[in-house]
Amino acid sequence: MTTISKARFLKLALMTGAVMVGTVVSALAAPVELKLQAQLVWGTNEKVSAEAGFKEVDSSLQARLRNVFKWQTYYEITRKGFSVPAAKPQTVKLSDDCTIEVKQLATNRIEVKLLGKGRPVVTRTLELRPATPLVIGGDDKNNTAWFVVITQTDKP
Amino acid sequence: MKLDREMKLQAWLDGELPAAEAREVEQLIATDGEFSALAGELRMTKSILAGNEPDEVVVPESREFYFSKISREIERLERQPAPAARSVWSSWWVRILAPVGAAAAMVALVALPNRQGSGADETENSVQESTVIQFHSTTEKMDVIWIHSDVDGTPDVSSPDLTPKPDRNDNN
Repeated sequence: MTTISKARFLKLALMTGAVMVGTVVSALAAPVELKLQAQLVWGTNEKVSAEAGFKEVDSSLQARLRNVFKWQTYYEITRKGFSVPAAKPQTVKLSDDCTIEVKQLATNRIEVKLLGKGRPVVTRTLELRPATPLVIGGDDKNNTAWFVVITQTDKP
Repeated sequence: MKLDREMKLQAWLDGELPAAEAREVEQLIATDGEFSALAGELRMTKSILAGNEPDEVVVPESREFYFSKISREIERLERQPAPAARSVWSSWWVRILAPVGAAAAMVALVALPNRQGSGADETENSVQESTVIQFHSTTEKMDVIWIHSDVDGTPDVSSPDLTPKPDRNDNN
């Protein structure tokens, strides 16, 4: 029967442990499917009647946008949930003219491309953080503004 | 034969013969005059040597010999191979932790590419007329990219979807 010295056993155990830890760490760090939500939002200082079919964004987002931008009311035009696999960019159409392309570069790291009328407007690479939305916005007609709000969610 | 007798006589004088042979030698000395004369001669020689032979001769050490000893010792030490420097690889824990550390570094390099502390960090503006402003609101915890249209205020993104509905509502 082969005998293993204590030092050799310890060395073998440590190296095996290191390999296991490395495997777990790499598995945890590997990109997984990202679950995101994109909202197309319209900001204005005028109140729009309920019959217009617009609904205001939730109060939390409303307050945050109001504290950053000058507009007082923010209406949600479109809301779409989607998933971004590790190796497959996703295209999400938010309106006839507004489309975003999201690509996962690494864990929680994405590239967002905003297209207006089919033309690329801006491309952004960023690290997604929970509860920290990415807001892409611009001014619009009649002293209004449009916003694309991308947040990380649990469910697509 | 004669030599053998002489050797026995010498051994007898030194007290090295067994008792039986010693008695034979003593008889020869008593009966053989030549042998007796030889015994007397050897006994006298032995007594002379035993009384005058110095126990230990001490040779005085000269100055040159003293320094030559020092020189030889120095040369001997210089010829000895220098003890090998203790390699860091000789420690068992270094031999174990080195591959583990290398593996961890490789995992970190593979698993954490382009990881930076800040959030949004790169903007490529494709609209010539626009000015892009980017910032992070720490109070509201949001990353903001603001695209300001310098031309006519009409964004290419959302205006066709947004403006008609409020207008229709106003008309109603």
